[in-house]
Amino acid sequence: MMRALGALLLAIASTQSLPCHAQIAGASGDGRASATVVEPVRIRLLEDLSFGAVTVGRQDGGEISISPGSSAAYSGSVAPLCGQSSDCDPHPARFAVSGEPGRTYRVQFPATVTARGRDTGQSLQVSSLTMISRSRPGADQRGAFDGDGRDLLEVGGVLAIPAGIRSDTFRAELSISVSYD
Amino acid sequence: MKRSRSSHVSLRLCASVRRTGVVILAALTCLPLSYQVNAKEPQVRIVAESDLRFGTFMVFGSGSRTVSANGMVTDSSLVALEGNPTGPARFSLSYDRGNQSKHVIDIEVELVVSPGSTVQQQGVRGSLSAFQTDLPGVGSISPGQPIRVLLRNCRERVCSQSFTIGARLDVSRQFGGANLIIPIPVDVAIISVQRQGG
Repeated sequence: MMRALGALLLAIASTQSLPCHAQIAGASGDGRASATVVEPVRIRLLEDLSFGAVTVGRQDGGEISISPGSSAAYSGSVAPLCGQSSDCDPHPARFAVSGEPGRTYRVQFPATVTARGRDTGQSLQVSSLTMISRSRPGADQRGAFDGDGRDLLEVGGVLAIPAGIRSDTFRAELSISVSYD
Repeated sequence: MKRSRSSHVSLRLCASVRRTGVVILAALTCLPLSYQVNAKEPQVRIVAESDLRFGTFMVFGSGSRTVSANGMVTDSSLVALEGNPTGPARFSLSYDRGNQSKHVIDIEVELVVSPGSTVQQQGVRGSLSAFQTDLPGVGSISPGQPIRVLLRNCRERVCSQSFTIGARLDVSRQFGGANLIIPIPVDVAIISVQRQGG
């Protein structure tokens, strides 16, 4: 009798064992989500590109060239007129850029812009616009942010002045954009 | 050490079986437990195989990126950048029956994704919502609400199923950037293990 009961209970136990597993089983997994949020690039004008004050001959024109990181060069009949006045010294445009430390960026701007005379409406062509960054002076329109997320850009160009142009103050707008690589 | 201690319990139970049916009845519910420990405990496991990767992006004020369970990326008010890849989280759910039986079994598992947490790192805050999965018949996941997962026709000692989880990441930025890490805790529990044709 006891053997029969034992066999019966063992049979029951074998079919009832699975719900017992349910009571003891459980686990946790530690998944995670990740994202890299990058600080936007910002650019701030420190100084305009200025060709200063110049004179040009009546018979021959000339050019003034301002290279980033160097002084102005004059050709033809064009000559500087600033003298000792420092506020009309020619200089490249300077921009402060900021962004994610260590990340590289590229700079875009037109190859030429046209300057117009404020009083006469005459136009002058500014060509060969070039830039260098402090971080990567040899790179073509590229730079990299330093450990503090900063860098400095300089933009220069060549202003061609035809002979006999009437005196005026010329101004052009140069749009420059910076974006992460 | 644990195993040897259980082995003694089993021997005592066997001795009781011979003495009285009342003791046998009382021991019945415990018998499978001691048997499992003796042999190899069945266990369910959930392993995070890969992160839910939202990649690299730039955001001015606030924006969101959704990475779906199948990896599709949808952006709102942010700029995608080259950098880290994107992709859904991948988990592997497995049931190890130990060496108890070689029957074909169906395992029903309850899976719970904990409510999405919010993290803040310096000037960047991120939070997860709109969870979704590629588990058949599930689609969207409500955090804290259990999902039933069925591992059918389990013939091996270990049966497993991989699945993905996608979500939406909302980001608001006051200053700077950040590498956000947001935990996605997932809990699983066995609901039932049914022997087929039994």
